[in-house]
Amino acid sequence: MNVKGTLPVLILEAIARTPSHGYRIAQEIKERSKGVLDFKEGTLYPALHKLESEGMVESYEETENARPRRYYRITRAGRTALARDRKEWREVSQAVTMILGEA
Amino acid sequence: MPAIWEDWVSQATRKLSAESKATVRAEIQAHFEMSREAAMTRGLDEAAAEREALAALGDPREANRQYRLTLLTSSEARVLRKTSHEAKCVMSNAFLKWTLRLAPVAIGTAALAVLRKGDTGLGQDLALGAAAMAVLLLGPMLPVYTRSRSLVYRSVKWIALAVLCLAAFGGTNRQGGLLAFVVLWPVLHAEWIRTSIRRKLPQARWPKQLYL
Repeated sequence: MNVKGTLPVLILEAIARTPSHGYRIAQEIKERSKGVLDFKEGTLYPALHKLESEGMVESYEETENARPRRYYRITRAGRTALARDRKEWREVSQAVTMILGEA
Repeated sequence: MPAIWEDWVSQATRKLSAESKATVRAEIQAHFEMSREAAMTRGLDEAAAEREALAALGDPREANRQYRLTLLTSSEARVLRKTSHEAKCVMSNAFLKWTLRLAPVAIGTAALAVLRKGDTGLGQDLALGAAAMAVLLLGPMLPVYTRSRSLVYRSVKWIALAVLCLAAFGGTNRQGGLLAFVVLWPVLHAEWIRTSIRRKLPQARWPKQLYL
C-alpha cells in the first residue's frame, strides 16, 4: 500500500515510545502494519529531515555495536502533531467505514 | 561499499550540496549495512543480501527528488555562503558600516531641504529613497532574530522595494512596470532561493542574513 503523505505521522508514531534509528523505524512500520504498509526505505530519511527542520523530531548520535548511529526522538511539538493527526485519522477512518461498510 | 551502492548514492545525491551529500551517504550507508546484515542472518549470501538491501531503498531518482526538497542543494548552499560572506564583509568594515548607516539619514536630510525649497517632486522621491534605503541597509543592525520579527521585516522590505521601484520607473504605464520587474527580478530570484533555504534549514542554524 502507498504510504505517501502518511509517512511522517507513521514515523512519529514509531518513535513516540522510544528513540530509534532509521532502519529500525522502517522495520517497525512494516512489522506493525504486518507488511501492508510497504514503502521504499530511501524516502524515509528525507521525511525524517523534514520532520527535523519542522521541529517535530530531534536527532543525536549514539554508538550501537561499535558503529555510530543517528537516533531520532520525538519533540513536544511532534507529540502535539501526532495527537492531532491520530484524532483526525480516527474521524476520517470512521467516516469512510460508515460509507464503505454500507456497500 | 559495493559498486551498486555507490551508483545508487551518486544518483540519490545529484545536485545536493557537499554537506548534504555527506549526510545522505552516512545515513544510507548505515541503513544499507543493517539491511544487508539482516538479510544475511536470514540465510542469503552476500551478493543476494546486497541486492535485496538496495531494492528496499527503492528508486534513487525518487529519493533524490525527496532529498532536494528537504536538504540544501548546491545552488542554495552557494547562495547561503555568498550571503553570509557579503554580510561579514560589510559588518567587519567600520567605514562601510557607518556609511550604510548614515546614507539614509543624509538622503533624508537632503529630501527635507529640497522640500523646504519647494521642489515637491524631487523632495518626495528623495524621501522615498531614504526610507527604502533605511529599510534595506539598516536591516543587519536591527534585532531581527525570531521568525515573527523576520516576517514583519521582510514584509516591510518588500513593500518598500515595490513602492520605490514603481515610483522610480512609473508603475502606472506598462513599460515602467516591466522595467520595475526587470530590476526586481534578481532580488526576487535570490529571495525565492532564500525562502527554500529557510524551509530546509532548522532555525537554530539560520545565519543573521536569513532573517532579513
